[in-house]
Amino acid sequence: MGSLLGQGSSPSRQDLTLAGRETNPLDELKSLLLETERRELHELRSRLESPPGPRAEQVAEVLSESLRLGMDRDETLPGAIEGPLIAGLRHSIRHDPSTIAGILFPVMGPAIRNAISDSLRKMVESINRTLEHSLSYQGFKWRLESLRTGIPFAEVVLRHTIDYRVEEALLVRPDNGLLIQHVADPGVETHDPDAVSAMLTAICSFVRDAFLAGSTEQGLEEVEMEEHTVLLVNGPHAFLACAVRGIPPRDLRERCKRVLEQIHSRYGEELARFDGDQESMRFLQEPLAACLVSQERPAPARRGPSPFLLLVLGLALLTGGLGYQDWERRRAGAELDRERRQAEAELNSRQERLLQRLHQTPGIVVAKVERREGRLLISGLRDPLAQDPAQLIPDSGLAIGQVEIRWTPYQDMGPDFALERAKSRLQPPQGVELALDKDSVLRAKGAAPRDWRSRAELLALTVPGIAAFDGSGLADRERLELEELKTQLEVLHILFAKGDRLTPEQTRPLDEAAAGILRILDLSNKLSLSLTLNLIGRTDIIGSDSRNQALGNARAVAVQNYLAGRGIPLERMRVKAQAPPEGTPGEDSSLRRVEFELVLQR
Amino acid sequence: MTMLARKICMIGDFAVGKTSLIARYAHNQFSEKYQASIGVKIDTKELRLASGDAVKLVLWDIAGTDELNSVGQNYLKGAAGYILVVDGTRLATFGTAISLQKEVERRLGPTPFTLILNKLDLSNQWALNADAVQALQARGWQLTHCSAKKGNGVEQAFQLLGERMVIGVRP
Repeated sequence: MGSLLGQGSSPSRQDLTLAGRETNPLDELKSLLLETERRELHELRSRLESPPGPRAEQVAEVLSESLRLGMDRDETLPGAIEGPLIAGLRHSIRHDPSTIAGILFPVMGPAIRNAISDSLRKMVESINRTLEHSLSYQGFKWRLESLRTGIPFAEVVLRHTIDYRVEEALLVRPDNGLLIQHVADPGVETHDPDAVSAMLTAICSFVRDAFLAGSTEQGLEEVEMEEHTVLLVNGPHAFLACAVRGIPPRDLRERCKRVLEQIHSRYGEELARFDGDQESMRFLQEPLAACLVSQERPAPARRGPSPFLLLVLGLALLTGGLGYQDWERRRAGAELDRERRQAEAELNSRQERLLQRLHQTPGIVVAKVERREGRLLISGLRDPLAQDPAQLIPDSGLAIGQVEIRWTPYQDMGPDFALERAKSRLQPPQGVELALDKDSVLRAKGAAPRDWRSRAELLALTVPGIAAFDGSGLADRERLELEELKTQLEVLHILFAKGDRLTPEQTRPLDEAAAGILRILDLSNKLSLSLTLNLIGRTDIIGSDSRNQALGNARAVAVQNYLAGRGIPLERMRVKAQAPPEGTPGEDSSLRRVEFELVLQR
Repeated sequence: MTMLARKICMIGDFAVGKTSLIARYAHNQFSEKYQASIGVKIDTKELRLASGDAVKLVLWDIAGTDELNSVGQNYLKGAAGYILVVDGTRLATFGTAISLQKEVERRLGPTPFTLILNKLDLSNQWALNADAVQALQARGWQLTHCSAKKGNGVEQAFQLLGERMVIGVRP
């Protein structure tokens, strides 16, 4: 191929053909085989040698895609184009700076304004503070102090007007880090002071070991982070840690030292004996509370008008608007802060109320309580029979969304819950009462169906908290019902007119009797009793004995047939006739009847 | 109601599961970063004893080590009890625990402690010889098999130590 390229000085096809014919067959063969490739090479060469216009168009088509691919594959591309870009920018600024300035204007404008307003605000604040005090009686005192001590007046003003607050003070055993006593400014949220005091001890120990090895120095005295400072003051039996918000003045450390010294001198023995019982050291709350000091910027003093002041006031008016705005903002901030603390205290008291109610609710055991972003997260154990804790939330003044409760079900083994659980499991029928005695024996009283009783005897023992079941107080409900039905049936007489024919008037008592007998059959089956129903036909005394015997029998058979038609099995019924007792009046129609007699046998 | 505070140290070789045991048991206040930076992390947990009294355990989770350096020794000061932790799947951690116990006792004097054989969930990789374990038990050591991962035995181990500290039993 290379030799072919070398030969190719763009000869036309005709030249090649003619040359092949005149020279040798090999060239002719080449020209036949490679004619297409040779033509393509010719086109490529002519494209490369073409003028720059068309080539630039071709590059433009792929330029953006090439740059993107270059960025993806190789990190050197930004470096490679940096030089030309900077040279281009430099050239553009030299040639016409307004173009670049116009481009940057939307970005630079706000940034510059922010920087300037921040500087101005600080300056105004400083002027405000100095002005506020320079012409007052207090300002005069501070100027004297500045002259006496050599500290610049502005610094003296600053020292007397800074805001700070000691939020917490912890008294800690230095050897084992156990917290002896802890006081906090009301409204300050504290985090597990026991863990904090141990961690502070560990940090002090670490610093002493890491940086002061072998030294007898006390070690860490101050820890600063943004607007918080922890002052540490060491004593032989305890160290004092004060968490300060804002910039603590120099004399605060001295005050803390004095407090610690007083505590040591008055309660040194108690401190040395401290064994982890914080409750026994509660008397330290009061001396420790002396550390909880704060200082807020005093309100500006009222001043009478003075000609000299007017000039200054003129100046002050210029910045007064801004100063007032700033003061107003701070005041509103403090107000908001106070409201926030009040709201937090209220929320805490509601949360405590709920927790107390939960602690008092039987069947509920609170295992863990967390407070996160104003929400109360409670987890614990709950017997499914205990009161629904969600009902307690509105009573405590909290919204449902402020509390998240996760319960794990458990079974309270107390007698109340065991009894409730037994009632729920055994479902005692109406008329049965359950009670649990002190030996956990479940006693049942009243009339109960026999199958409930046998089921209850088994089920009761599967109920947690029940040791035994005593059903001796139970009467057999089936037996009672059977006795009652028997009595009702045996006083029922089916009265006849003369003869043995049933009339429509007899239908109702017979139907009642049939329903009663069917129920009796059912109950006797349950009680495993065999039943025989004797139907006794009677007559008056008119007529011969043999005739009356036959009539009584016929009447009983008529009743038997009717009852059989109502579903009473024939084999359960016996018919017989019975003569009227001696001396009965002849015309007594109530003697013409059929009676029922029920015989029950085991 | 009175609640006593007691300092407890967790001691054992690297990666035996001390921090996981505490994470399973206690309320986490500080990040584990502290352990990496100053060698200890502290958590607290309230414990109710069988007597009905409550104890606040301040748990010092000392960074894993096979021998106590000077920082670790300082962290032991004033401990009312300690927990030795062994990884049941690594025999070497058992030996470390025994030598650490001697070192701790030399520093603190006789102090209640308990030994946790952790990682019970990996029982198929268990490396501890039952005879060695029995030998320690015969010496009066109290051993608890635990799984910080699944939670088995963790509460019991802390409870045992709590009871021992209060009644002053020393193994």
